Amino acid sequence: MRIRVESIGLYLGIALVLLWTLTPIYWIANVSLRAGLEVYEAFSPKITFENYVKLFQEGFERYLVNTVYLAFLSTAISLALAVPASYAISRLALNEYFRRGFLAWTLFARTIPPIVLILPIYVMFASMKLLDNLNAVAMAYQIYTLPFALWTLIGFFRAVPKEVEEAALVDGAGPLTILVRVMLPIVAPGLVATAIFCLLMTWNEFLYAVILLQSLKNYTVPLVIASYISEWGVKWGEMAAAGIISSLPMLLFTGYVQKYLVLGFMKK
Amino acid sequence: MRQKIAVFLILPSLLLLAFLTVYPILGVFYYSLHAYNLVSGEFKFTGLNEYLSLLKDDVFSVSVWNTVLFSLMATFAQTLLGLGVAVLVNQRVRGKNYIVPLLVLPNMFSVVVVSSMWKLMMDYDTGLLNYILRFLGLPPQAWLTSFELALPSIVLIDTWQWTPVCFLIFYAGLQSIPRDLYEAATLDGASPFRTFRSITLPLLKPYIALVLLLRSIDTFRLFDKVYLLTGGGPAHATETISLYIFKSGLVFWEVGKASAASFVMLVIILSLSALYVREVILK
Repeated sequence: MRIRVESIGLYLGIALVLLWTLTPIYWIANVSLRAGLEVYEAFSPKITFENYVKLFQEGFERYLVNTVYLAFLSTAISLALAVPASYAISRLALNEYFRRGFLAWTLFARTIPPIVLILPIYVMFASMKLLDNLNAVAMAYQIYTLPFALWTLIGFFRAVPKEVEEAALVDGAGPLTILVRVMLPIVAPGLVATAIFCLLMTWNEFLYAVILLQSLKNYTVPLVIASYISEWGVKWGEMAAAGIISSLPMLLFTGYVQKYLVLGFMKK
Repeated sequence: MRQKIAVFLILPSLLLLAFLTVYPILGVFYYSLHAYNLVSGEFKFTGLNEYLSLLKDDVFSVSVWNTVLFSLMATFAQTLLGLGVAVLVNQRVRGKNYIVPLLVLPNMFSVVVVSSMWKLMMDYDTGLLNYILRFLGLPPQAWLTSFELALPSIVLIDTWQWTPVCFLIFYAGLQSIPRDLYEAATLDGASPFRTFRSITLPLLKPYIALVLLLRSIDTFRLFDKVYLLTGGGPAHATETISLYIFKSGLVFWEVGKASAASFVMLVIILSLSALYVREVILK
């Protein structure tokens, strides 16, 4: 009898946690599918897509394109630099102090509040006429994606057993051949996970975007949603619809990404 | 030869990382020693003057206090809640494979979307929270616009978004504890509380340290939620250091002052960073 009481308590606890977790998500979806102030008919089947339609009539696709471009460019730059570097750090003969110093610095870079670094970058971009330029923002975004990519990739490369490489070494292959032919296929799943995280990071980024981008034509999706949030007499429906659209890629990747979610923070 | 290849492979990352960290840190320190205004073009060496004027600025001290307060409240709430949920889910529960991904969902949404969700929920007239309060016969609250509630409301939102990550780390920690330890404890007739205190807690210690460090470092930079939801108001109740730097440097263009504030923030966060780097790399 005692066991049954305990397990009822257990499931009740989990139900409460789920309710707390899921209500805001349900609510934003609900608001996005209602016209005007019908939000309290939360369970009626009378839904409408007019908020979504209105969004695209106002040119929402432009912001989607900007965001996709920025996310892919930043991720590509980070991976192109981080793949060779993290391979070298984890596998090639290096001074041990240098190796540790590099790791510590990478990790330290991730703990610096981004706002602290932006003023000199802003001044430099301003003097080089690089403000309001998506390509320049992709460079600034490297402060998020590069240390992250280095850190996670070093972990993936280290996890590959030494023997795999040794066989290739016996065959006389150089480091670059080993990286491309032997290591990359093995760490491919980790590489994909790293890429997805970099994409999501930049897809969602707000602080640098709001500082470095100025004209509406260069806005990213987070900036547009922000403009709905802070607007007087908030456009609830459109804000909710934009929020849902911008979250779709993430929700798509949840399953794949979830088991990697904590790895970016953990020990090596 | 191999050494040369290694340097060649690392160099591009090294240079970019230096450009993005060393250069701005030196730059911020350099600017902080000047009265530097981007609009008037004034640029004059003033020594530690900007730091002294920070000391006299009430808004700055309020924003430091708010940041510390927020960081403490949010870190403890998230660590405690994350630990609780992890212990709960780690029991014999059916449907775990569906529950865990659902619990992680809040962290899959961006700050901007999370902010709009809670803006919807916390609206005085149309929000769900006040609807529930009215339904229960309680007075509705001005969640984001009252002096007392604004900062705790932001804590609540941040806790919703970040408890999942704490939960996942603790959950990974719990699963690394061998089952037979618990079986032995049960055989010895230990109570669940005793088992938790003598087995779970000591073995989770490194994970708890990690979560506390991670969350305090991350909550310390609080910007987006206050920028989007309160703008630092009402009456500076949610002003944070990040927001202060943003406003003084990029709204009022006093880059010297903002740089001094940035440098102060960097020095504060450095101690936490050092602990974190040591915890993760050296141990």
